[in-house]
Amino acid sequence: MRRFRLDHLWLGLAVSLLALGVAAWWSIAPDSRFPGNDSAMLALWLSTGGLAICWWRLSSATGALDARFMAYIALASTAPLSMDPLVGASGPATAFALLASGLAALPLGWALAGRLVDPNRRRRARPLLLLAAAGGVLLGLAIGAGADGLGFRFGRWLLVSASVGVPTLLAALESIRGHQRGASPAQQRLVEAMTLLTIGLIPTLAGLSLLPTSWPQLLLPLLAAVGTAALLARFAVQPLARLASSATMQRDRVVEATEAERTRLASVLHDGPLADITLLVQLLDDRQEVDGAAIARSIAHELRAIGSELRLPILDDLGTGPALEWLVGRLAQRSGAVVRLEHTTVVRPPPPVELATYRVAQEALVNALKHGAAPITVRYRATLDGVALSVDDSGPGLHPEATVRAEREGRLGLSSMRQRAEAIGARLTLGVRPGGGTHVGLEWTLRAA
Amino acid sequence: MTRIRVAIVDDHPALREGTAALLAREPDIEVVATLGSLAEIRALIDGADPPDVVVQDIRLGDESGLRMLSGDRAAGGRPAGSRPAIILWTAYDYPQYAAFAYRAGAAGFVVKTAPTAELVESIRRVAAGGSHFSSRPDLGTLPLSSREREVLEHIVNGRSNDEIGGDWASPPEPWRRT
Repeated sequence: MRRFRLDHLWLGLAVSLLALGVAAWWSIAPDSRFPGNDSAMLALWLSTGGLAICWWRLSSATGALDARFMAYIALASTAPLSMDPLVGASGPATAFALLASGLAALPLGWALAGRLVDPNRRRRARPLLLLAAAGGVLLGLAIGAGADGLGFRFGRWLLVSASVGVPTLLAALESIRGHQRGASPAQQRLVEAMTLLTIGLIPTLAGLSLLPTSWPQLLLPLLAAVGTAALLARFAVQPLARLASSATMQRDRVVEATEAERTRLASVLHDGPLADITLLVQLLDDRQEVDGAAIARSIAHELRAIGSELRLPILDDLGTGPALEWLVGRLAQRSGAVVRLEHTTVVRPPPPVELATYRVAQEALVNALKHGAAPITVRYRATLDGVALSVDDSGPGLHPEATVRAEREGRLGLSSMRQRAEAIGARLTLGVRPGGGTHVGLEWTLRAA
Repeated sequence: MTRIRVAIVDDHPALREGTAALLAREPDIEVVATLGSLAEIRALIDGADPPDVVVQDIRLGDESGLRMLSGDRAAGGRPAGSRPAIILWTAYDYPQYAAFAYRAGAAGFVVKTAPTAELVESIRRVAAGGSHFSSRPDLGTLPLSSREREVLEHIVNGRSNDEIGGDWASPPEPWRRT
């Protein structure tokens, strides 16, 4: 599946919302309303279209066909509505536009509905489509018959809102409960949020375009907007937030489990084979088998190194500072690079913070040795206020795209650093130093309990 | 001749018993206890008849044996007859441990895979008020004056406090960590 670039989505969204703001101001400001009305509607229409395109891209990236289907219905129903003022609000022209698009919407919508995987949804989708199309056609006929009173406008607004809003809301609610294939739960939630956002705008826009702009009459569309926002919050944003936090929890649990397993392995090594080898060394020494004892010692040395790679006992016993000393010494020896370490520990932070800081430093150091250039400077400072870590290298510096590229290629070093920082509520900074070279910083502040 | 009373603390039973058997061969060493946890060693030290020397692992199950070095239990360079001298006996011959052991007042630091003779020698030394570090503390990490560093070099090289003190006019007390 092609990866969808979220930054494009947010850019589109931002532009659309900006256009919406301009349009709203334009159409509501008393002085500029009449001269700017058509331009405002154009802007509204463009921004709605922009939102819908963003949403379409996102839903195709996640394979959320239901959302696409509903987007289609919404667009098909509101396009003529938005065109209403653009065609000069003349009855016959509007009627023609509504009828044409209502009818044109049908076959495509029908085809799209046929592609829905879930037979229940497929069954429900077609009546919904017919309802939306019928709404459009009815409106067209009514306008064609010359109806233009305030009651008619209200009715028109209600019909359009209901024909678009109700099925979309139903679909959104249903997909909140159900599952969409090929998308992560978080992506599904995002699609649903976008769905409700886009759909929620439509009654508002319709109301703005159809109703006179005196305040009491604006109240209804405003209420609709507020109601939609509440629904959006309840059914999309909240689950999204819950899901995001549960995803974070799961990710943290994976990291915790990995750490626990490493600790267990290291302790098994220490209590089992390493202790046995020590006994063997004693035995061989006792029998004066010099060669055997030398081999046993070198095995002990290796086991110790493996254990320390898994979980450095120095970290638990002595803290991050001494652990970094060991790490820096080991990496510098292995790579031959110059690695400087400055560390001060006034007070040791809680164990999870020590572990996270150590792992971030480890990752940053390995990255610096692999992609950057020596000399590398590691600074660690633990005081009563908190912890500050920095790893600076003298290489060309982290490429802005490096994070994205690394994650795409399945290299998770940078994101694992981010995860470690998030898990302890620390701030991670990745960047390029003024003189070149990559800077990795971690700051954890002790909050007053 | 009074024998040196030694307690061995390690959470691996075969290792502590095996080592006890090796030490028991020495005429001047008596292994009075082989223990597996910090609680046991604390009870022994606080009891009526504490050992002269405690040989203990750093990792004792989930506990860190380094805790034994805190407060008044620290016994490095103590005058004979008071608190037992503690020799850290570990699989990890990292200088960071040795440095901590020194600062926290351990009398010795011996790597488990060192020959038994070295352990025996270190027991004799610390029992006599000296110290023995089989892995050099990382002196670069210690905030020491040049004179302190010199003293530490002596300690690392196995000289007793009294021997070191004899090199200077000043009494040896400042170098004792109690």
